[in-house]
Amino acid sequence: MELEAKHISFQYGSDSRQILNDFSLKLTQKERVGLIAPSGFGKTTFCKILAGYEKPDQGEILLDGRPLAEYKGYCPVQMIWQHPEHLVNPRLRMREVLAEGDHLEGRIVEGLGIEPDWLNRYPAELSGGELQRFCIARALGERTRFILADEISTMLDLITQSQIWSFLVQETRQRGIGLLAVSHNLPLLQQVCTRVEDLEQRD
Amino acid sequence: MTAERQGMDKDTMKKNIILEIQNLSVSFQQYGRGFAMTDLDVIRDLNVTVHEGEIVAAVGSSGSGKSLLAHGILGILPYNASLGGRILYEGEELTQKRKEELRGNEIVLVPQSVAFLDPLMKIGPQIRKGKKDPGSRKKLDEIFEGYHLKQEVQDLYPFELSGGMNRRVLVSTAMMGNPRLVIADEPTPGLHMNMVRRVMSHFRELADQGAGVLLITHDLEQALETADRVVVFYAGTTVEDADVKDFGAEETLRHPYSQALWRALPQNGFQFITGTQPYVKDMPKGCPFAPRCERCREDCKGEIPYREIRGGKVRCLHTE
Amino acid sequence: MRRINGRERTVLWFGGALLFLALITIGGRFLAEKAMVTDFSRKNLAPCPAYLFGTDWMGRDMFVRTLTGLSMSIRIGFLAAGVSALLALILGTASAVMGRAVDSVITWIIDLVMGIPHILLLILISYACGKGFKGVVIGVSLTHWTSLARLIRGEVLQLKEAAYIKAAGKLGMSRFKTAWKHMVPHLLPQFLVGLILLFPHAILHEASITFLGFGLSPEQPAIGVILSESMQYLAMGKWWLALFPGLLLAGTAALFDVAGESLRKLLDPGSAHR
Repeated sequence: MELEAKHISFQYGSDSRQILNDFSLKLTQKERVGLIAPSGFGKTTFCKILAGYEKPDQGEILLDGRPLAEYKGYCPVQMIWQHPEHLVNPRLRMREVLAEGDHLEGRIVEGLGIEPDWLNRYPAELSGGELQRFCIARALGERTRFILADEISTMLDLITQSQIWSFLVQETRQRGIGLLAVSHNLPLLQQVCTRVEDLEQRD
Repeated sequence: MTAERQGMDKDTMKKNIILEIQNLSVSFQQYGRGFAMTDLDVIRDLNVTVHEGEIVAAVGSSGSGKSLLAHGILGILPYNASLGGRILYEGEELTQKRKEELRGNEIVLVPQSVAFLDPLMKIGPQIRKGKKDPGSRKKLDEIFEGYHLKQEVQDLYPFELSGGMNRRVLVSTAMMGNPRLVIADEPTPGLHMNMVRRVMSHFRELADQGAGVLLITHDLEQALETADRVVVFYAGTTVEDADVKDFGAEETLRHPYSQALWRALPQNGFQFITGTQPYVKDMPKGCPFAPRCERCREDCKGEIPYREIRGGKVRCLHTE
Repeated sequence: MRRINGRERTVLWFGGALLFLALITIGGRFLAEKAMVTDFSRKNLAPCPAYLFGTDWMGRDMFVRTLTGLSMSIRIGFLAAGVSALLALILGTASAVMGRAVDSVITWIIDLVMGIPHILLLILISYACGKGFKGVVIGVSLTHWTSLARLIRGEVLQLKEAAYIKAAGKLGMSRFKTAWKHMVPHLLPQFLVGLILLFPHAILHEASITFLGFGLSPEQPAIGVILSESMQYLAMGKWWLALFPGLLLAGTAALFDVAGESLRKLLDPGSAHR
């Protein structure tokens, strides 16, 4: 399977600045691509478009040659966000957050270091790093083919960052899930990715 | 001037302590499920000292209690929190009354979000604190220019700002006055690297003018780039107080947690230790790091003193 | 003994208020027949140990009459507030999720209803529906839903944009399940508090229009009827005929307010740990 962004342009509202301008990117299931982009490029917006959260003004997103919007129900492209605290319902226990995932294997929950005791807690009773582990687990459901990681470890401490990434690399490699990692941290991307697109250098 | 001389100058300057925090503790009174009330000790044994002309970074992961430190110093903790230990400002106890007098003038906070701004006041007047003299206006214009903020931004209300703008406006608030102590609570997430560097260089300028800067962050790499000293937090406790250059190698660090952080840097091997920071409700006795520590022995369950080793401080029994 | 903490105190207030109101409602219901008993041998008695609230010009026991009236008021309030809150829930949610056209129509109706003085609209509707029990319930229901509807609309609009709800869609969760799992837990507490806080309004408004003669018919033992009848006797020094029913009506309304506010305090994270 291949995930392809073709000539994407995007702008919030008609009077604001153009953030994405005719941007294209191709990603296969065997790859882990790192993306470094200058300020104002619209990295988060690009991930949202690529995962189907936003529609681009121009261009299209193709998954296996078919427009992503045609995939109904579970989206094979899952996004992981920078601030996990916005991605979980504050009134639900973590057990229910995990239950939203698609046939999650126990291996994933274990591999991410999620402790059984955390399942009974509410989001406010967990730290950002712990919440992020849940969000990652939830995104790694059975039908996931691509993962978009938007600055997922920027708000985390170094040890959690290293734990999370080593699991993600191992899991995506093993299951043949394609990965797009957006970050400003070049040494991190060099550790994690098979190829790094540095748009800062390109300009 | 030789490098040695410079070092000495720095040392003599360091004698003036601006802020000294001794064994600070913060606990929250909370209801559990039902009616039982519990005290959650979120912070205990926190020690931080900030000298004149110095940038001290307090580094810790989320949930280590770093933001509460800032709120404790400024006296803006939530209603169900209580504060223990001592906070000394310029050698005198910092009481709630003194906090209220000093904050915004001698002590400024660069807060984490615009929620700390007055939503009904335009940005310009808000940052100038209502001052209208040409001097203040000119100063603010210059600060804004430095941060690539258009002059029109001064006429906006806080809700009209975009994400990146927010940060720059918040940082500007600190640059306006002549603060003695700047407390910056995660001032840079969401900012582009170049802008981060600019913000940090402004903190350095403030420090060079004699202010003390306490930079609270989760980002060790950023701390190492800017600060003079790093205080490492773990589970609500300070485990190490080290000079920035001690982070050059694993051996010069003192606490096993700091060393683990060092090894987890992508450029230092990207290794990790297993486990997570313990939850406040089931904090182990003695050293909070003990369950994840390979140097842990029986005596780690007892009282751990904060002791001086090799010019830094550490809360660990088994380090030389 | 250990000191009662804030949460226990709040729960006690809430429970106490509800218990008291329930007693009045049930008690009044059983006393309904007794309230009709006339006995001219004991007419116009001032309050005394046997007749706590005194008796009226037909010798009816005012205590029993007041309880029966209040019980009727509370039942009307219950029905009207319930219908009102349900209307608010349906219209508020519809306004938020059914697109711009529906939204503007509903918002327009909300503004319209809010713009007309409550009591005026109430009298009109009640009168048009033939007064009586039906008229009052319909009138109160149709006028009291607006502010709760507006609250729910705002809440749903905000929830719709929440990142975790959008993520649930990408995880293949159906719209219905998303609403049930993610929205209801947020809306329910707001809805309950809104519902309880509607009661005092409904009760007071029922009493007012009955007092003015546009509500319940004079044969019914309603507080509004008691109050309006006692008007003629007030000048003759029969102060107890109006004072006790009036006080109890005010007390009942206040108790519902206490119950609603206590519940809000328990559910609101901003004060939950006080």
